[in-house]
Amino acid sequence: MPSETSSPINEIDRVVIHLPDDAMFYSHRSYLPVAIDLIDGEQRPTLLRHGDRGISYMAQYEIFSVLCSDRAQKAVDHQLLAAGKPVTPERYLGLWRTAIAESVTAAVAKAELGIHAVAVLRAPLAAMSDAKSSWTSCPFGTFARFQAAYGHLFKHGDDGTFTLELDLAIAGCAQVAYYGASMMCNKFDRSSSTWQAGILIRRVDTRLHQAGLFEVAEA
Amino acid sequence: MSHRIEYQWACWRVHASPGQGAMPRFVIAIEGGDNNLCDAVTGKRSRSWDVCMLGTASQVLKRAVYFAGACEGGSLKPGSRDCTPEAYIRRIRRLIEGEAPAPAQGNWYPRVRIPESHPLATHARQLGLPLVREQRFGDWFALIDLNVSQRDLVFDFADKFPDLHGWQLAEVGGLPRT
Repeated sequence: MPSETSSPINEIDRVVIHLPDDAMFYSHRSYLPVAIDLIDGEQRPTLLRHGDRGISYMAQYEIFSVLCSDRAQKAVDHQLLAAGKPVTPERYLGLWRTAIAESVTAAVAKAELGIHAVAVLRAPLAAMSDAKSSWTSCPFGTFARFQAAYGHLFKHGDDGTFTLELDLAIAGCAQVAYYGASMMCNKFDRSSSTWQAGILIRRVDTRLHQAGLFEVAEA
Repeated sequence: MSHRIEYQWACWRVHASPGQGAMPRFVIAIEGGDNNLCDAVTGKRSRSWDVCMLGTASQVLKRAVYFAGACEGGSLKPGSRDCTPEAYIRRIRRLIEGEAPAPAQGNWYPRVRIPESHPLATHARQLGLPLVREQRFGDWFALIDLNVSQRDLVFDFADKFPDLHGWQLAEVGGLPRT
């Protein structure tokens, strides 16, 4: 049997972010499942997903598919621990079911739990100029209109690329990120490295963030 | 939506041979089929028995967890009913942890069929096992011919090549059909 030399994953908590109902066109609620792992004494959030590219907002059944493809299997032989203790895959999936039932908005995840979800889109600007969305539900339809609305947020690189970071805690940004990425998927080959669309999970200090909120409230 | 239905489950517990440590091995066969395929003769939904999980308790449970991922979205329905992944895993766990006897009729036997380029083909040649080439749907496969006395070799293969599915290593015959 192949020997497992890597140390087990110690998953100490789970945060499931639920996205606004208009984030994409499916009728089911969509989520971002974030596992909080303890690595070298530090809590690190990890977005669980199939693959590492694309703006994928997941239905509940997709979360279970992802879990059963990886972490829940690792629970079988204790390559995954829950809060430092062995857990059966059934119990582990139950923990995630609870987390889904207690899911929070991206704004709450950022402000109260310190989990900041950011969508990042990057592509060559010139190549995108004639891009269109294939979805009739897309709020902007063409890249030209997308650029007119969000171009002021673009960061331009020396290589002719633009990068757009969208804070998913801000209303409307989840939808913009989804349809923006869908235009990029139409334009470029999926395996091409010339473009990037993905979701980053960052750890933020909730005390600082809440202090910021109080400052605004007091102003 | 089309989905797989599982109708019956069978489990054989294979006592460890001296070369395989102290761990017993399991062979789980499942009678199942797609909900939208019908047998032209009987008119019933098509179904077949296949070896779906094979190996140690840990290997079997891992494969069960993988299959269970299809339950939440309704792509896998044991007994044609909705089922949570947790319940599906429990069902397989009961098979291997319970004391249920092996099926009264029917048995499993080794039958290794893998893509010709799979590293197991090279490994089998190194072991001096006879290989037969077979073309199925345009692709070439290697059939490794094992007799019943060599059947424990499939557990070695499952240990060495965890990417292989149970149905690539063994088959069943003689089990009662629903």
